Amino acid sequence: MSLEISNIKIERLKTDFLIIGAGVAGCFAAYEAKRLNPNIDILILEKAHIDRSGCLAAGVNAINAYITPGQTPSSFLEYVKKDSVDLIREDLVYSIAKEVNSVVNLLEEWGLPIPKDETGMPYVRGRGSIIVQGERIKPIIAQATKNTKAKILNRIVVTNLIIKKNKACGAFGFGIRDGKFYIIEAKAVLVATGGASGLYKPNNEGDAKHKIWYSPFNTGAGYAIGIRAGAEMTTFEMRYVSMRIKDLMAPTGAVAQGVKAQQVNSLGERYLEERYKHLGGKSMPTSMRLWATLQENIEGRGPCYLDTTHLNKEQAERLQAYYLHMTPGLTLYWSARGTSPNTDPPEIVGTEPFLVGGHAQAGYWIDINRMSTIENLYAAGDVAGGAPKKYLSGAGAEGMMAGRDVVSRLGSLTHETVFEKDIKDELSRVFKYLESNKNTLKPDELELRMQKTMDDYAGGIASGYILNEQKLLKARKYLKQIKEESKHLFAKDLHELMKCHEVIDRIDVARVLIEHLLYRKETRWPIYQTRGDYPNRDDKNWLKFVNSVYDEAKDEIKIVERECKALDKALLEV
Amino acid sequence: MGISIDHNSCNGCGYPEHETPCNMACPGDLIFMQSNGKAQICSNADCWDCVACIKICPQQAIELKLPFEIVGKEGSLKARAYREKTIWTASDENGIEKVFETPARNDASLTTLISPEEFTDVIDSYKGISKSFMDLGVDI
Ligand SMILES: Cc1cc2nc3c(=O)[nH]c(=O)nc-3n(C[C@H](O)[C@H](O)[C@H](O)COP(=O)(O)OP(=O)(O)OC[C@H]3O[C@@H](n4cnc5c(N)ncnc54)[C@H](O)[C@@H]3O)c2cc1C
Ligand code: SF4
Ligand code: SF4
Repeated sequence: MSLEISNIKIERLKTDFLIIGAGVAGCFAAYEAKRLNPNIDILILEKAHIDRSGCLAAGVNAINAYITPGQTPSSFLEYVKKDSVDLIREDLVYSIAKEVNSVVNLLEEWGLPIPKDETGMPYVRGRGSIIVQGERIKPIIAQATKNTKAKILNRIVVTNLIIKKNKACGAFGFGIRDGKFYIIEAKAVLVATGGASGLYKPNNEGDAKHKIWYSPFNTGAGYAIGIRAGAEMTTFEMRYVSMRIKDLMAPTGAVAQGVKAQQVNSLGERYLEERYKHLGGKSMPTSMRLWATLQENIEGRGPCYLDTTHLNKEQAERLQAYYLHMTPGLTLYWSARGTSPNTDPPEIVGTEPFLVGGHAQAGYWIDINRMSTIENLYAAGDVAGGAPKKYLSGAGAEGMMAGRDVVSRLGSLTHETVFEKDIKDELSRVFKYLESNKNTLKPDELELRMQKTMDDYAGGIASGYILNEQKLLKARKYLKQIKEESKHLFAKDLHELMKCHEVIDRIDVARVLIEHLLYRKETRWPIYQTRGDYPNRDDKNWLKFVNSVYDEAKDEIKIVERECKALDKALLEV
Repeated sequence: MGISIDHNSCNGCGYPEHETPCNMACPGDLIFMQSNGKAQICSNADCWDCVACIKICPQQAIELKLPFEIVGKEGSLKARAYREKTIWTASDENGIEKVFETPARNDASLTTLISPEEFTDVIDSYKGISKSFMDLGVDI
């Protein structure tokens, strides 16, 4: 397929509230805004189809942020703070903690099956987490969203925000089914596109390259459009590397917390307690439990497992089935091998690094109402920064907060006219890769080049996640070249055009990540951020946020430091 | 490998008048319709194993296969999504099957909250979505 840009059909739409991404955060934002003001006009743009898009496409088997009996929002805050080595936005985390249970109540009302014990309580699966049977969670959320009568356009890839005088007034995108260029004018915009996978070389190669934990289709677009618009980003250097079940990269919670499987090495030792007690043993921060696992391998005691050999046959079968709610490939993995968790305990390894604001805290710098540093531009969920461990329920809570704020400010918001020049520039930027010309670079090729560079020089799996200045400077240099290379991209159809923009977005995100990694000269979160040249934690100089702002005209990434503040006690009362 | 589509079973679901369920479901936009009216995946390496396309295919033409480099063994997973549950069949290399069932929605919501016409995620009520996309006309 080749195209003349002058033949592209243009679709211009106007709305009050534009939501980018129909995932958890986007859907809950629409729900809450429509509940408070049924007359507000909402348009949701989704690159896939709302029924099965984003992280929840396959489903989930737990809600990982929930105030369980005996816990309070304050104790949740303390736990997140400790696990994140003291550097978090306490105001954001606390506000999430106050709302996660109401998100779960809504999900249950909409139809999510949540098993209960004899007393009517959900089954607690470790601190702050309850069991759900969530294979159908995404269609359930989609149905509730459709019921609000918010307009939903599926298969629209958003490519940039429209900004005027540091105010957000819409977004550009293209349709992967209709091939049209979309110009949306809006009074307020919410970015809810999830985090970024695919920045680093993954664990598996070739045909298995997308057997990764985080959705390969969440490509960091939301970060990239914010970066290009000059929005302030925070804490990209706190990457998320997770301990996962080898090969299928499935989450471990169901095994570790659900059936209380212990981490054991090949000698059968419960190594966290037996070898790393001085560092906290089983209650070490999440990233340290992975660090200990890698250490066991380095010292020759691998592979490490989650020990499920104590399960009886029936329990093992139940565990296998439990994964159908989230990572069905793992259920097949055991079946195809003719084994079961009690005879074939899962091996554990570390994933490649991701940027995920809902697990670690890379994302937009936002205020308590989830507005970014650009007026009328909001961010929620995995794309929003400063609040680790918000997961699914926290993403929903943040979406609701943004929706509420937009409704309360709606009366004072107006539309802005978009500059014709901006429209022309973006139209050409978006579609030029489809034009028949001499370009031959495939998006997959450029992606591999970027992933290899990140793996080699920016602390990927191959280098044991370790970073240092000399390597990062090389990464900076190569990424600049890789960005240059992107002008040679060629797309033969609209699907490939989407892939061109995915890799372009990832490169922009990776370049900002490198600057954050270079700037923080201490090791705060081992594995997520281990500086070989600054191996110690340094609270005196670095208990503060590293933020960045990109200047597109100058192609410059400026770092700004922000203070880490304790929770305003006035908030506690509300 | 990701998925495999059996072209003897795939009946095209009314394409090109309707968008097909598998094409609609895929979060990665990986499934296309060929000019012979059969569905095809454009790149199995890009598949995330989410099984969305498999659960919703009315003909049960799609199954999940693990990449050879990961298990080395044949085996497959099929699934059917009904309103209230999903039924799964996992087979090993010898075709020995294990059947699982998972609930889809809680009982309360099935009886009170949702009208049956609104289900777009289940095979027994899928009516086709009117075609609103450009015919790409590409054979993959
Ligand atoms: C495999 C897996 C299992 C998980 N299990 C659990 C669990 O058991 N419990 C739990 O609490 N949490 C779990 N999580 C975390 C949880 O799913 C996420 O925290 C949550 O989905 C984040 O919500 P979000 O709205 O930010 O992102 P998402 O829900 O991923 O939504 C982002 C949306 O934006 C769309 N989008 C992306 N780019 C564009 C673009 N350019 N234009 C338009 N749309 C775009 C995507 O298609 C998607 O629909 C899991 C995550 C994964 C990956
Ligand atoms: S849903 Fe199944 S039968 Fe219908 S087009 Fe897709 S593969 Fe073919
Ligand atoms: S399993 Fe999921 S990612 Fe793979 S083709 Fe089907 S819908 Fe797409």
